[in-house]
Amino acid sequence: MIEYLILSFILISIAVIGILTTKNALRILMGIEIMLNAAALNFVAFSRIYNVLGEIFVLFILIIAAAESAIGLSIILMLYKYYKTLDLEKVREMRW
Amino acid sequence: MDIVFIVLAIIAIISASIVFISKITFKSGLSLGLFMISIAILYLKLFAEFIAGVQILIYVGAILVLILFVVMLVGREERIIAINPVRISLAVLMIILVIYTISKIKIGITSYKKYTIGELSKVLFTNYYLPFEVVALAILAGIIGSLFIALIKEERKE
Repeated sequence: MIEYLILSFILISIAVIGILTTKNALRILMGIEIMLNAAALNFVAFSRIYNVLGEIFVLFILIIAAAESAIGLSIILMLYKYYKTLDLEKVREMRW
Repeated sequence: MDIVFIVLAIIAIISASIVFISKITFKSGLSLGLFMISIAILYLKLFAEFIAGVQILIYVGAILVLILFVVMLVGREERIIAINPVRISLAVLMIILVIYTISKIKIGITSYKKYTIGELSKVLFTNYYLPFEVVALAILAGIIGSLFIALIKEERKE
């Protein structure tokens, strides 16, 4: 059981480091998917000990992840249509 | 801790790293698919067959195809930021510390429970019926919102 927690923590750390060091919007979306998967793995691992609710939460996580990725990808398409780039360093209209 | 888990964990960690390391965005998308499949096999190993099937269907079947479509539409080569070795070594040090802390946890229970799809759906459609419907509404709102965002026609005014 402990090894699943360790694996999930390593995956979340990889995703956080990757999100903080990349500038591409698509890669950031992929990193969010990796984080959601790691969290769901944690839920299923704890569901082995306690009760069935962990698996139900994983189902909800899957549905929300599908909606999130659809909206995020359409925002990325709009971003590319508007700015002609996906580099988040160059998209600074609302920053300063 | 057995050999299947170790192999799957190594595959998952390496493919999750390739998502951020590789220079080609399409390759990182394919590596994301390998990561999702390895997580699905880990679910099978945890006796969650239904979750594993749904993971393959939704993630590999829908989300990954969507991501690869968008990568083929707009993803070009982009600059990779040079990673500062001092910062990365600090992060790795912190990860090792937290792993050491987690490995000190003692969970006394050794008998693991298994659930059939019947038990899962019995709880889902009685106690958790309202969240189920709310999630259906949320995904409907997501569909409408993504359509609305994708249909905006506006060019940048320099």
